[in-house]
Amino acid sequence: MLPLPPEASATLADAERKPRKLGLFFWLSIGWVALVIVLAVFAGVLPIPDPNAQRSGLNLNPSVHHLLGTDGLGRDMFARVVYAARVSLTVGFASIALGLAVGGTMGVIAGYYRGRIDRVLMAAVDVMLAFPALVFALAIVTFLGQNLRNVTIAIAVISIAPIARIVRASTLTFAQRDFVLAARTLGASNRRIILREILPNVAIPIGSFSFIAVALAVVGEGGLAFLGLSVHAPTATWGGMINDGRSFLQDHPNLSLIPSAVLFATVLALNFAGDTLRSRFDVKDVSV
Amino acid sequence: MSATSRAATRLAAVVLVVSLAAAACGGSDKKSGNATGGGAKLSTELPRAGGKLVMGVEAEVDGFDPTQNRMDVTGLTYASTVYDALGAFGNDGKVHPYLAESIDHNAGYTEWTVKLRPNIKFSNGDPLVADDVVADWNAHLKSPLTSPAITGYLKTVTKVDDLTAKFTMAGPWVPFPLYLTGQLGFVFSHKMLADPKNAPRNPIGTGPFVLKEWILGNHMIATKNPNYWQAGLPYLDSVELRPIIETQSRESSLKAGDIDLMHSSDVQTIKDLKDNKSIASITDEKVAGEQEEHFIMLNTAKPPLDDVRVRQALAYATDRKRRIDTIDFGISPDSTGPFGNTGSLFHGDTGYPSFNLQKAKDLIAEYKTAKGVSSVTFELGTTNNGRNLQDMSLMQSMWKDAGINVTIKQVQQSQYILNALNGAYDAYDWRQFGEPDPDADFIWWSSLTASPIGQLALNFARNKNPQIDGALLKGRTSPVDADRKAAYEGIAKIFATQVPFVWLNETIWQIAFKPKVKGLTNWTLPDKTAGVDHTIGGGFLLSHVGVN
Amino acid sequence: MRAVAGKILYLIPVLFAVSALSFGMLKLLPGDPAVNILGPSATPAAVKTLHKQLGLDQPVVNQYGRFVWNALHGDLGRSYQNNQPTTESLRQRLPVTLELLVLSQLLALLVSVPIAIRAAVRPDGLLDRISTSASFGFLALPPYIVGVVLVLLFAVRFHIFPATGYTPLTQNPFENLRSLTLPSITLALAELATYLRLLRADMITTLQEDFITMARAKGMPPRRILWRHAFRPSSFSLVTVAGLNFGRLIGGTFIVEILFALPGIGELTVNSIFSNDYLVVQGTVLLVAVGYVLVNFLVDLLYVVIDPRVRHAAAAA
Repeated sequence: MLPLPPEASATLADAERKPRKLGLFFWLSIGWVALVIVLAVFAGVLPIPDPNAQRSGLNLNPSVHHLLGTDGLGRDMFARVVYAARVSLTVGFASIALGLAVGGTMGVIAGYYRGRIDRVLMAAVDVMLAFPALVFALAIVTFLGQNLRNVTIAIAVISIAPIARIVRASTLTFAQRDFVLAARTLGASNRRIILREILPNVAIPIGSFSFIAVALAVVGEGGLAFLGLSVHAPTATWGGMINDGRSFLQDHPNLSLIPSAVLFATVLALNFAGDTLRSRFDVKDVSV
Repeated sequence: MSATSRAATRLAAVVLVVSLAAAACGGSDKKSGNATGGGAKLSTELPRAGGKLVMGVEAEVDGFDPTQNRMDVTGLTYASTVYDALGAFGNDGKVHPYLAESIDHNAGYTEWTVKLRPNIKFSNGDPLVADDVVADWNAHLKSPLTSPAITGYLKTVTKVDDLTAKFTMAGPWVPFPLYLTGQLGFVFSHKMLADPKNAPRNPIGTGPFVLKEWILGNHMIATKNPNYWQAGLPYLDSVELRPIIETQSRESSLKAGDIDLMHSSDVQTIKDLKDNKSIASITDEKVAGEQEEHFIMLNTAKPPLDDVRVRQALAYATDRKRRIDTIDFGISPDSTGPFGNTGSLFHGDTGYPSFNLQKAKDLIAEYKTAKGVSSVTFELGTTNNGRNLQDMSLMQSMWKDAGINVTIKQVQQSQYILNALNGAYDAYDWRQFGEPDPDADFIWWSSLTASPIGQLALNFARNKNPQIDGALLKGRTSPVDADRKAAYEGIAKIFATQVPFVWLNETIWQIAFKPKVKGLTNWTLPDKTAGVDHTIGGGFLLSHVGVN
Repeated sequence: MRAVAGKILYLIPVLFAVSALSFGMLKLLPGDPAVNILGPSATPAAVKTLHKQLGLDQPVVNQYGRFVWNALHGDLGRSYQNNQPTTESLRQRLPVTLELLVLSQLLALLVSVPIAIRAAVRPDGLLDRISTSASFGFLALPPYIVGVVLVLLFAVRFHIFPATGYTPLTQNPFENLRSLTLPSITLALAELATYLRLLRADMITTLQEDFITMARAKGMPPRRILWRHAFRPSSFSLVTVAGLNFGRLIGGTFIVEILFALPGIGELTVNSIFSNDYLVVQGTVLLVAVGYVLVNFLVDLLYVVIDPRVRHAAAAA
């Protein structure tokens, strides 16, 4: 049996239906994301221990003094996770936002206009994609320094080309649709069509992908940390903490599992919230 | 929400909470094994003939050409499968003849004569003759890679007769036989020199095995040399060396049984494996020779490290014991000088500073007043390795307590050595000075190799000290053991007061293996004296090893 | 036919652009190949000699020109470190990475496609929630952790698979698959979330389309609707990403390769970059560029096959 999603039933009654309730899980997700962001932003003023202080006992279990225990150097894990949130979330969101701004624009233009514009843009994208990301990342952090800004730029630039291709693919499917043809027949300008017909439709699968991309960016930063190309110590990042804990997996799995769990929860929350919002607002337009 | 989705969300929430809780509660300290180690017992069983040994090594090597390819521990292990060296160290810390039948000197130690054993053939059927030794050493004298250690002191190498070669020195060189072991001592066919492009991958030697297949990055397989000059050796039919760069992966491979034997200097691995019931292990702590040290190398030509008070303060501010217990899990031995403790012939009380935070603070205060500065800051560099970063973070916090503020700078490995050579650093996390004999440290400590910052210099610390130069020369030219000992101990004492190096610990190498591997210990050299288990740095000969 | 010829012509400027850019960048990176070869005993004279031997004392433009000239004759030079001809290294290592890629992407697709389709039918349903959570779990446990865990479980604890190493397919197919199982699973898990979410999102959108309603009204069986009519137009993003992955991962599998000691292209690229082995890196760059363009050519072809509207639009343009 193929039950159709409620939104797909195109009847007038549906258009007048009450908006769906957002649900407990949605609020849990929002709550978690808000908690993480608040902790990250106000970490300096909240009573959180110094994440770099190496005073306490090593590899302690969670206690009143150390909410999530300590790591191999005696640093408070809770503090490190919170301070790491700052870096990781910034890297994740900023890099993808940049990637979407540049790559998304390229993709929509290429997918909509086709022809020569498409070929030129995609040639540039191909060169960027064929270029080894590692050499590029290494070049950036070497010349501009290994700090938060440059790691973000590196990941952003690396994400431009894949995002461009995905957005273009999505645009291709919509650009040929009847409603676009209809709009054009009615005399709408290209800019209007892009902004009002294409973008809203493309935004849905791309929006879903964006949250994944954020997660990929955060994990990707850990991949850079694997090679020693990420933010300088002792700054903590989620990806970096997960990577550092790798050698201690058998005896002290906490060191990797705690940042992983936090990353998991955050990514899950973001996606659930995003999904719920999307289905809440994505009521199929019934009128012709 | 429908009933199923409510159930689903509840399930997801439970899973999330449980996994967070599990993460939080898990991972408590396991009970550690007893202090003496709970590994498998070492067997004294004699190796039996036959079988294949698979060894996991820490990196791929550049090649088999001793004049072109730098050989670290792994390189030496590869090379000693297909080559023999003229001499080999024994358990007594002295060089014994190996491929050579005898190694003699004249009264003034200005001439060394090496006599080869008769009737030995290379793997290509050619006879081993003195011409090969002469050709090899002349190539070394011209090689950009290997000449620095001998240039200026070794004048000529000439053929005396078919089996004898003479080494003529510029002056007395007492510990010269040291250079007949290791990279410079390997004897390879002069024919390799005719094709330098392909020589690294086509070795022609007299060794216990012959190269069969080498797929870079994957494995190197060498098979038994049927005409080997040591009767009854090698025991093994073949050996396979596999580069496994990640230490954790190498350890897992040994435990999983993919490999039979591995080496490592990583303290985490050493700790894990020495207590593992199904793995036997030996370390080089007690081997005769000078252990490699781990230290912070200071650029004595660069302020503020050009002032001895700052350098001494760093030494006083370093709580070595705390660092070894924290970073090295209590495994590494302490270090107070360039000469290791257990197997060393030159170890003594150096007077190096012990941990004394107050003294460090006083020295820094004195420096600040004298120079009229308000802070002491510099850059502490290390490579992009997670553990090294942790290590240096601890140093940073220890030194901060004394009022010294350092910023940690991570540098690419390939740039790292270049910076050290150029003097483009303040303080560097460094490991060096592991040699069978201190004479090999000559080029690192001599002021002859200390150039100004910006020029390449092997004396990385740019430490020019005429007393050290004098002592180095004494160690090289004096045949009296007591005089040599006094000279080198003198150098250690100078290092202790001048502190160009802030000693941290001694590096130990471990060889870990499945109990079926026999013969690593208690073997004899051709002249019937006891061979060394493995040389400083974990290199060892596979000729006397077997799998039973 | 014309399309194929066009694509090959297109390849040439792309290769030039990529190789010139990377050559330039490599030269500006820190480190000196001569010092890497000589190690700590690199005297000034020795470094100078080696520079001359390796042709590194020439101006950069000359070096690049020589590289291109040799490449056009099929000679990609030799490694500075170990003198191995680059064509030989690439030939030895490409099968490893390719097989790893094929196995892992197949695995990822085989798992994600059916689940995504089913999940899209009931968004927020049980399968949807669980599969989403699970795939995010894998995202938050990156390859450098998942690989270690898999090895600790299935190689060390239970000796089912080897922890490291690679046996060529031609030598022993069984051992070959054994040695690639854990690495493939590690890599597949990393891609699972992306494929799952993309396909699911596209499917949900497609299932809202009028033509689906129409098909349902016509009484078409649900499975047919799902697989024949809904899946194809929804697979655009999936195909794009899969294509991207293939092309990029040829150089990006290094984490898995290093962890499992697989002698592939990724490991070669990383080691060569860090030891300033310029010519070898150039070789891998060229290989990856060619591979990428080829794969995405296939992807563009697939677009046309999946969605006839694209084909017509292309013809009209």
